[in-house]
Amino acid sequence: MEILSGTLCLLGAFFFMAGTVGLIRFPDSLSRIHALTKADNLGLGFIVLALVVTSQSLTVAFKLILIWLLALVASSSICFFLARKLIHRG
Amino acid sequence: MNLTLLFDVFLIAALLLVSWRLLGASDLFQATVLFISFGLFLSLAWIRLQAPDIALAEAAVGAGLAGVLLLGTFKGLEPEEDREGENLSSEACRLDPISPCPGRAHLLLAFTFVGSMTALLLLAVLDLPAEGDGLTLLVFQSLDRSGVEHPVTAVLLNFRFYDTWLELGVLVAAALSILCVRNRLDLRELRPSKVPDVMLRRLVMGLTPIMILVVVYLLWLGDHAPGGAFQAGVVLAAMLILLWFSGHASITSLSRILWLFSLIAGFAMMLLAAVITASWPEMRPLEFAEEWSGAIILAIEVAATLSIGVVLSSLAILSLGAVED
Amino acid sequence: MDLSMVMSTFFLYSLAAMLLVGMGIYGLLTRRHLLRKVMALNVIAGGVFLLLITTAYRNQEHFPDPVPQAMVLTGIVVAISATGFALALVRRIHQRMKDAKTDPFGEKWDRS
Repeated sequence: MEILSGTLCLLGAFFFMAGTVGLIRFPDSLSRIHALTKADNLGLGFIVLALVVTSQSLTVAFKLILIWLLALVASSSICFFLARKLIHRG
Repeated sequence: MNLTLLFDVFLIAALLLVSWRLLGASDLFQATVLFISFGLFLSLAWIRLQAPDIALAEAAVGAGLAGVLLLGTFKGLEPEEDREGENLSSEACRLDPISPCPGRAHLLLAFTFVGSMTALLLLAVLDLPAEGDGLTLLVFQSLDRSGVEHPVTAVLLNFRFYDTWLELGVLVAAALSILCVRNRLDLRELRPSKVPDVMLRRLVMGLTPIMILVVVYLLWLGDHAPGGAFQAGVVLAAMLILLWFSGHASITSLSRILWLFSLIAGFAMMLLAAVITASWPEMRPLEFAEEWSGAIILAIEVAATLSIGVVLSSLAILSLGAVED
Repeated sequence: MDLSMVMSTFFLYSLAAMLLVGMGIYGLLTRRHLLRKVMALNVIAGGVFLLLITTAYRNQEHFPDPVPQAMVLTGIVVAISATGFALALVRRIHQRMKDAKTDPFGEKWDRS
C-alpha cells in the first residue's frame, strides 16, 4: 500500500513538473493554459488517488475525490474563460 | 539536514522573494498578481505551522478576496492612465505627480529606520521566555466548560469573546466608511462592469448549492475541528460576489433595511448575549452558563457568518461595481 | 517531535517574519504609488501574523497555543476590511487628482 501510494505521488509530481515546464517554456498564452490545466489536473488526480489509497475511512476518500472533481470544474472553466478572452482580443 | 527543514527553507525563500518582488516590481499589475501568490505561500506556511484554521481563512481572504479587491481597484485606476498615453513605470504611474521622487537621503533614512525596527524585533524575539507554554494549558483545562470542542473556536467565541465582538464592530465600521467614501447609501444600483455571459451564469448556478453546503459544513465543523464562522463567512462572501458578478440575485437586490440588518446581525447578536449575561443574576458579564454555552455560541456563529459574508462581499462589490447610466 | 527541531523551525520562521516586516516598512516608506503602499501594509501584516503563529507553534508539548491563532484569525479579517477601506480611499484620491487637472478649484465636488 505504502509503495503504491508513493509511486502514485511521484507520478503526480511528474505531471505537475511537466505542467510547470510547459508554463515556462511554451511560446504563447493559449498553449501555456493548455499545458497547465491538462497536466496539473492529471497530477492532482494522481496525488488524490495516492491519498485515497492510504486514507483510513471511506468518508475521507469520498471527500478527497470530491475535492478533485471541484478542482477539475474550476480549472477547466477558468481555462475556458481565459482562452475565450485571449481569442476575442486577437 | 532533513526533508522538513529543506521544505521550510524553500517556503521561506519563496515568501521573501515574492514579497521583495511585489514591492520592487516596476509593473503594478505584476505586483498585484505576486500579491495573490504571496497569500498562497503564507497559507502554506500556516499549514506547516499547524494552524489549519488560519490557512483556510488566509487562502480565501489573502489570496482570493484581497486579489479581487486589488485587481478591481487596479482596473479602476488603469484606463485613464492608458488613455493619456503615459508609460506605466513605477515612477510614472504614481498618484501624485507633483511631489518629488525619494532622494538618496530619504532612502537612507528609511533604511536606517527599517534596520533599527528589525533589530528591535529581533531583540524582542530573543527575549521570549524559552519555556513559554503560553496559555495552551489554561485553554485545554477549561475547554470542556466552553461549550465547543475545538480550542480555537472556544478562544474566539467564549474565552476572548470581546475580541471577536469588537472585530465584528470593525467590519461594520469598514463597510459604512466605504459607503461614505464612495458617496452612496446602499449597494442597490451597483452592476458588474461587464455584461455577464451565459456560460458563467450556468456555472455559478451549478456551484451555488455546493457553496451553500460548504458554508454550512464549515460552520458545523467549527464546533470540533478547524473551521467556524470566519471561514464559513468568507466562503459565503465568495458565493455572494460570484452570484453578483454573474448577474444573479445577490445582496444588491436586498432592500436597504435588510442589507443593514444582515450587516449588523453578528454584532447585534453578540451585544444581545452581552446584555443578557450582564443582567443575569449570579453571573458576570460575558460569562455563559455551561449548559447554555453551546447554543449561545451556535447562534452567535450563525449571525457572525452572515455578517462577515455580507460585509466582505459588500467591500468587493463596492470596489468592483459601477452605476449603470 | 524533537525539541531542537521545533526551535530551529521557530527561529527560521521568526527570522522570515522579521524580514517581512522590515521589507514591508521599507516599501511603505519608499514606494510612491498608493496601491503599492497598501500592498506593503499587507506584507507587514503578514509578517506580524507569521511571528505570532511561530510563537504559538513553539509549544509543542500539547498543541500549538490557540490564543495567538484566534488573534491572527481575527486579525486577517480586520486586515482585509482595512485594505478594502484603503483601496476605496485610493480610488477617491485618484478621482480627485484626475479632476484637479480639468477642474483645479474643485467645483464639481462643491456641487455634489
